[in-house]
Amino acid sequence: MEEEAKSRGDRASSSDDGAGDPRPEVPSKRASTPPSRPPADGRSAHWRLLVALVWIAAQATLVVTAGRRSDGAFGFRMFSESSTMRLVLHREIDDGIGGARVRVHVDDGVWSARAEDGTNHRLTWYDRVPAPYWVFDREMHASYGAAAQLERLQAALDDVASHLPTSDDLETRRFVLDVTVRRNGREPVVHHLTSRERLLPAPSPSHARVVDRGPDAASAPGFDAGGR
Amino acid sequence: MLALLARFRDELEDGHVLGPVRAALGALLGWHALAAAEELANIGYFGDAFHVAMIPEGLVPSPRVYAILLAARVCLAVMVVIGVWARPALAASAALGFFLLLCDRNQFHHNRYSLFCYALLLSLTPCDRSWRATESSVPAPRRGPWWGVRLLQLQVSLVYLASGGSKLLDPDWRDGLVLGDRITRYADVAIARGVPPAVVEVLSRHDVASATAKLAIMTELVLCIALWLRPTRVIALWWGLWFHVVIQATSKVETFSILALALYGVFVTPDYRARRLRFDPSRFWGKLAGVVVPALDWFARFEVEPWEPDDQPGHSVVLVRRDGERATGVRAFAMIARCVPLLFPLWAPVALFASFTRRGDLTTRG
Repeated sequence: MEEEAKSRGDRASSSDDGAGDPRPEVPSKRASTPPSRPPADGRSAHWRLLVALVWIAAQATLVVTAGRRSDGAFGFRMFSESSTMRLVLHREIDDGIGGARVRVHVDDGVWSARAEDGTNHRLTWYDRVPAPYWVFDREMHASYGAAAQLERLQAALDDVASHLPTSDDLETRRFVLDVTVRRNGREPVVHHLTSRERLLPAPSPSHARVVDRGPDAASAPGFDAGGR
Repeated sequence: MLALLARFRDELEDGHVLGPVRAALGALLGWHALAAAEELANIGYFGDAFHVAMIPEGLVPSPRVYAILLAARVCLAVMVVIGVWARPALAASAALGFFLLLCDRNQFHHNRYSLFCYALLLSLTPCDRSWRATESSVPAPRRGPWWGVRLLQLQVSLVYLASGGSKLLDPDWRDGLVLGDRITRYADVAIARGVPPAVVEVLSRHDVASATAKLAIMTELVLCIALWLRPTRVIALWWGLWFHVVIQATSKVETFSILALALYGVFVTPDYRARRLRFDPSRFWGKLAGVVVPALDWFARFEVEPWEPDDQPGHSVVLVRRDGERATGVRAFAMIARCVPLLFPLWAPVALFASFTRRGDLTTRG
């Protein structure tokens, strides 16, 4: 059977110019659309070695130094961690009685605050930070590792605090974020991040005391604590 | 060493095999550009919200310029796919991609950065010699400098080395903590994508996760070498293919696996139609091979022709390998599976089965 196959193969390929032989390259007709120019064919193109060397050196440097960047960017450290985090956002506001500050839980990143025009404005974290990045009060994957997320969250906190118009929120002095990190399935560790202070027009009394009123603060008299 | 450098610099090869790689990268570039455009439409301009620029804020484009850049990325991606000014389009796509990554670190993902690296390197290769929508025949010269392909191959190996090496140095990875926790948390995704729940349960056990982690590390480190060696290349490609299929099925990795598999094309030996396939058009299997193989032979491995029908009973398909050896039956199918990308996942078991036939062998020749 194999012999027969061989004879058939021979018969069929009698007009072939041989497997693997280089074929003469006949220029094709000019295309209606101009083709891309083929790469230069010139010998002794030493610049190719130079480009290759620069590329490899740059890539190697980025890979070796990836550990210095919290997210390991440009280092190809895929799936470096399997960490989770849970974000709990608070606002620090003056209690209006003794000059102390109280910490008010922010539900799902949304709160309302007294505005310059005397009404309560509804404000949300997501006005500044697009929704896909982070959610609150639920466990979520710490993309690119816990360190990267903590660094980005700190930047986001500062960004939200600095872009929150004073005319819309006369209450929030700063934001506090409790980040419960569970690195690679280990025991949880809580990190407390605080935003930069917001400059409000009315000077507040001493900030000596901080009272954590938690999520129930909304029901406390005299406070509007994060209702939707 | 000098001879090696000279070869790297002056090597010329047939660029036909790079056509499918270019088209795949073009599709991925287009997909990412369209995804960014969708975000712009649904979420809004990133510069108006929290972002982390890696370049001076003054260089971050305005909303209008950003929209124009996204439109340009889509157009360039189409040019890459259809092969019109493909190499400049690849370089421009890569440049725009790098620039926009630098504009917002929040949008950084390894697979996106890898894609732009590969696009830039592919623009240095004769990747526009085939798979052109505007010109069906392959334009001459088909051969071109191969140094860009060698750089691409180095880049693929570097990615495996960096990824595998960082995992090897991490005790949590070596012990399987990272993988076990990841499998547990993505169990729902894996099951939804068709992985049997029993398999997910077994994989998330600590001892199994530890062994799997070591296997994953070893796979990445072995791949970065084995892809370069001719005797191990086809096995490495087959193993790597399934490695990436498993990653895609069990994790959220955007287009990472598709990109990795597309880049396996740069390891295909550039021997245009070096194998011959002869089929009997009067028989079902012959007719089928005569239709299917040319349609799926994206890398132009085979010269496919019917033979003259005669009155002698024989084989439906006879395949003449590069070394002149003839293969029929299951051995021919193993050869086709080896060369046709869509059938390649079947290659190893079919080749193993074929090795038990009278003239079968277990080498990776072909």
